[in-house]
Amino acid sequence: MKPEYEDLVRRFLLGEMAEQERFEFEELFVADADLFEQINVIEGELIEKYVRGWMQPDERAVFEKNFLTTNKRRERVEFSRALIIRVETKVKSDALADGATNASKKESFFGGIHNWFRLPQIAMVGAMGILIALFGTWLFFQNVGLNRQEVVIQGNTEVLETPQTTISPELNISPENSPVNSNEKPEANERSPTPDNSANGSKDAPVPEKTSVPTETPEIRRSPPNPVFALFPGTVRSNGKNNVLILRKNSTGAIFQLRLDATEYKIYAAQILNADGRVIAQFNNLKASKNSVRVFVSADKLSKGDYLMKLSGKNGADENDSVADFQFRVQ
Amino acid sequence: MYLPVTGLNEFLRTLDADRDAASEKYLRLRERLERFFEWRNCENIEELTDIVFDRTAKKIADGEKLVNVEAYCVSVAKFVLLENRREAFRTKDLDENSSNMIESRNENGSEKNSDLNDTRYRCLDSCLSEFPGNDRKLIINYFDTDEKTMISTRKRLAQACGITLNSLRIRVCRLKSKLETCTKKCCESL
Repeated sequence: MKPEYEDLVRRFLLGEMAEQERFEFEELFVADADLFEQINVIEGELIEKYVRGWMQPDERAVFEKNFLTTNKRRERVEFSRALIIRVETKVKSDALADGATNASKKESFFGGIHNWFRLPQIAMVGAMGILIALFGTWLFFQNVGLNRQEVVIQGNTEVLETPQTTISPELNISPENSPVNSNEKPEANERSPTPDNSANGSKDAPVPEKTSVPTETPEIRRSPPNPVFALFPGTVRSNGKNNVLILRKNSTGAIFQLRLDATEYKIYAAQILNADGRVIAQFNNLKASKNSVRVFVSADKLSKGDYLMKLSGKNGADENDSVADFQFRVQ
Repeated sequence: MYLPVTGLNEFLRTLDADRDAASEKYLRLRERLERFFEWRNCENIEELTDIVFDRTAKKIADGEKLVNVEAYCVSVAKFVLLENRREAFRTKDLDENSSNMIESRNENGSEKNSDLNDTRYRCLDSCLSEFPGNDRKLIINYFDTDEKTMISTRKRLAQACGITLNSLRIRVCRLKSKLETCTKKCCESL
């Protein structure tokens, strides 16, 4: 709202308008829902200013004389006062509680573990179980193998590069080594002499020479890696560095891992906006897992530039509530 | 609204052909008229608003074609206001006599005020806990400020929510209004 309109509303609320001007203004706000809403906002802010003691003495005097004239308004002021006091005490008590909770959690956790291990039977079974688990893990890593993950940290993000492996064997077989049971007709120059069955009046098809089974090992082709790009809400710069994603030439896209403080919604939606504010991608019906929401964005949508990922959650009224924004750059 | 059903139906149909949309428009218009009377320092705002709707509905029932119902309601509201002021002026002497009684009651009511505050805080806590987490956090973060940093804090909060500062102000105003209604109902029930 323009400052001059805010002043108009303020004069209206404090009873400083001439009667005719006031009647005209009242006709306006009854007909105009937006103006009505703005008046409510400014009234709330006037009340807040009064309750917090931020008013100048003359304004305060006018407020008490012309505004606190009905029970309903006085109740509204008292409610605002109670709300502000409650917020202040809640912020302080939450800050104290966080510190106390962390300390007590640690004590109770280690205390519990200590008591549990004191039982001899539990200790024995527990020890055996741990040994078996360790052995199994060692065996797993020895036989199956695990793709090492490179952690590339850029700015305040973690980029975990997990190479995707797809085995597409290619049998590198030269014509000379064609298998016996090939359906293909042998090349003309490969025809070997065959017995003459002219007495039968027929010519048998030439039998290809028996050859050995190809011994070439299949090539394992690895498809290009798609990075997992972790983003944290509200952070743009950390230590002077932006959230930067570098896509390799043959990447098909990137998996965005949007980290949240808490997951309060069942369904999420994400929008990616470019530097011009245009929506270039929309993702619906996303679900959170372990305080993060994952979205795969194809490489064709991630040309170089700055982007904003807006995450929203669907509330009980089927409306989208803004949850967090994540800024990043593609280089 | 003290209209018979037929009068109400006619009135709603004038607001909108669709019944649900008409009900919504009626509630919004009612809210604006009540605030009109409140901002004119009237105490009995619901009663005065009812009078406005009764007169408007009667006009419609009498066959009058109203092009702009809202504008008509405002003009009726002005007359109702003037009538209410005349009535208030006539009964002023009576009010002045009773005001002394009210004052003396208030002197003994300091304990009552304290109880009311306790009830209000309990109800406020209860209503706030019923809010979705994000809305609760938004209200707390919005009002957790001081005079010097208020504007910058709220601008940052708006940016974090991905909305303009004005949209944030409106959103918080609506949430606060919901909270106030809930708290009031809770206090009345206790």
